Amino acid sequence: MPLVNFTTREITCKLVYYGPGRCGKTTNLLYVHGRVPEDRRGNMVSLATQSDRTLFFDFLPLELGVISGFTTRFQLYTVPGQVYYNATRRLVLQGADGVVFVVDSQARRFDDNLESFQNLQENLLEQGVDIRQLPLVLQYNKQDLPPDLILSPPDLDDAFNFRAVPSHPADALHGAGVFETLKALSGLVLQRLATRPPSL
Amino acid sequence: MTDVLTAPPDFETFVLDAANRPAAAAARAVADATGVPFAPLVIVGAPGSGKSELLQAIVGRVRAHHPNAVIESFDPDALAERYRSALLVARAEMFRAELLAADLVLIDDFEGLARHQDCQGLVSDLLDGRRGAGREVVVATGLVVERLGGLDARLLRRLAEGTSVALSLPGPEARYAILRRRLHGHETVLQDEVVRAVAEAEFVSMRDYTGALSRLVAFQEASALPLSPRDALLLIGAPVAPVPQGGDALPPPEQGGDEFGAFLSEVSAGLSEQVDRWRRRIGEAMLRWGGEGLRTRRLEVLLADESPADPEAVLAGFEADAAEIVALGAAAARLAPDLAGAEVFRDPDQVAAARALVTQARSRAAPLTAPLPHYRWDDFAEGPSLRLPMMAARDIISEPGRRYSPLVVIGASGTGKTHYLHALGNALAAAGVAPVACLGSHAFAAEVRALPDADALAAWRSRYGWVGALLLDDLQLLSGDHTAQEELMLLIGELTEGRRQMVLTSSLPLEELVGMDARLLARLGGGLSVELSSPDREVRLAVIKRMLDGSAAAGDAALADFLAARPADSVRAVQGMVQRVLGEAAAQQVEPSPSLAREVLDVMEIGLSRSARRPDPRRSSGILTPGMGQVRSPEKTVMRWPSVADRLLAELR
Repeated sequence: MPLVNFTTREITCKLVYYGPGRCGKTTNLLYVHGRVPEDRRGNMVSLATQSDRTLFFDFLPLELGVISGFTTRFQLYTVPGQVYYNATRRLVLQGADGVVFVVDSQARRFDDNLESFQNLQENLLEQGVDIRQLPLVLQYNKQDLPPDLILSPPDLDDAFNFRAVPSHPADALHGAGVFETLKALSGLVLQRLATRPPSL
Repeated sequence: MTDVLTAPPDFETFVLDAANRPAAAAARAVADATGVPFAPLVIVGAPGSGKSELLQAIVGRVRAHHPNAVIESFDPDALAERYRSALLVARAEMFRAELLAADLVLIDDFEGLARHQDCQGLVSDLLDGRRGAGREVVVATGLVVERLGGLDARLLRRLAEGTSVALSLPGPEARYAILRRRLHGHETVLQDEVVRAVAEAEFVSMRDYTGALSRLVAFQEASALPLSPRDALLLIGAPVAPVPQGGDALPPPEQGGDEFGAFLSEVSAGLSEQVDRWRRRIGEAMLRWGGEGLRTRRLEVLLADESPADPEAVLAGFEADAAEIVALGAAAARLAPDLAGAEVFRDPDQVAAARALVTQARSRAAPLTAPLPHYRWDDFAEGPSLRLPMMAARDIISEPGRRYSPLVVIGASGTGKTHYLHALGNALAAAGVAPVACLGSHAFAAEVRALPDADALAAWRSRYGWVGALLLDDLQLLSGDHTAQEELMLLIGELTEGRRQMVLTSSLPLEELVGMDARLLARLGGGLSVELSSPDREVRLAVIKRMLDGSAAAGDAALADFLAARPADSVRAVQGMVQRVLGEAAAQQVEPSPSLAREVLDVMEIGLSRSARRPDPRRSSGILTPGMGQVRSPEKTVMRWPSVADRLLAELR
């Protein structure tokens, strides 16, 4: 649940970008980072290997300012996509208020996507979280690649979106669909504010 | 300041416009009770057009001029809930009568009545009855009467017979005035051009305009640069210029646009909507409790507060206090009719005063039977046979109502049940439990039998339902009295729920009681049963020493030991034994001694033995045969002869 502190008037939401290695999670955060005014963003923490692959995780804090009397913060995280960093993924996933699952649209990465999606469900279950109860948005990244290399959004919906969650085609490198995805997830997360017990 | 003010609406601040003037005038006429009733007044308007605000304005005005007016205000869901609750406790007719007798009835979101078909007849009757009595009903609905679906024909006819007034979205000028009024005291946050641009934007309801204004205020406070009207419209999502729509699956990112700004605007809108829900809830609570005739000052203050620390807690606290004050008011009315309708029972901020008043009324109604003060724990002798009852008593005194309730104390006559019960009652009272009711079952049953009618019964139940502890002696005396048993069962249920202490005594174990309701026995069996058995030597010695204290034999250990060594079924028998010895000593003007005690008690035993044998049919001839254990005088009972020394001393006297 988003952390709402009525005493200090603060709301903090943790959003996690999840997906297979090299699907574009860090690229999403870099694009957001580049579009946020300097006074609204913290330092982006990125621990990457020499080949620019995320070793631990990326972290981008966003200060959204005071909204309806609440100092509102979004914390964006990515997980390392590589199979052998599952412990780190579980750690980052802890306490997530919402997840963007970034799908690499390339047809040859289909199995990697599937494996990562299953891994997401398993890691959530280990933490006692039912993926159906967690705000989730799918992003079909790399839709700018030639059509013969990628699967179309309807095809990807058929494969991954059997729960009919919001899905967005994207080209994270150039920014298309990045904020749409973030907005969709933020909307879902904020809706949960109204259902927190005891609700008002 | 991050949010516009949302003061409770009233007619003074209601911005008039061609779109709402007739509705406002009609509503004001209702509030002032001028003219012929509209019977009913039907306010029709789209969502967000201000229907609920108009109803609140009516309530506020009536309340201002007639503080004691009874106003019933609810939506169909709340009505259905109250009606069904009343049906459950067989008070539907009373509820119907209350609605008919109220000074004013307001029903918001009337179309929602389609979800509650079981209430439609009630509302039809209500409209009929109030129309006949010249009392007003005001109805707010989003649909004109002829388009209301799911309502029965009679109800629709009654609505159609009333007066319908439309409430439309005000024009730009009125919207501007409304928005300026919302910004009252915070006008400098937004430029006037921005407010005007918002007022001229195209939204479907006034709620959208105020929501947009709220978001802009939030955004402006977080931003150093003043918002331009164009930026403002972009932020609130109002159309500024046609937005090009691409047909591709992948729309290009907004080149040169403020993607983060648009994102922030959307998040602000979503967050404002969620966070500000509490304001709507408070408004609803004000309507509900105000409609019940309660003061809602605490909620008004909360609503006026821009950044309350924890509105949830305040609202929950108010609702708990409001519910308690209603219950206290009802209890007071039962106990003392002169307290019915007292002002203190209309103000949730005066719960403590209301409690005190009800306490006073209860005491006044009839004092409860208190435990007898001369029974004290200190006088209660403790021995191995009483370990369990004494442990239970200590636990009860330290945590009344938490450990063993009900506690059932079982013991034969004379084993000290009454002493135990009253002493425990006194100890509970000393520990702060109040009030403690301690009485015999015969008195309990007599009270129940003496109740003349249902009102007296209700007052009696209220009086006992309030006790801190109930102690009832000789439960077996309720055998066969089903009315008293029924009342005791109800009382046990209520006291158990309130975690208050109950202790009952019985001369027989529960399973051996006859003529008792099985449910009552089951409830009692759910507690702890302890037995006061025949006093053991330690108990007898303690009782005897206490009785000898202050007599000529005080400190006579030999006498005390002698007496304690004699068997006795009960403490009462021990006391009788000591009193007989002391009495005999006083009569003979000698000091009590073991030899005197032996002589007196042996005579007594023989006497008892004789009297016990008298009805034996074998003695019907009256001839006593030696060798049958029969003795004629203590001197002939060699087995019971005192020691030689004692005998000599007795002879010398």
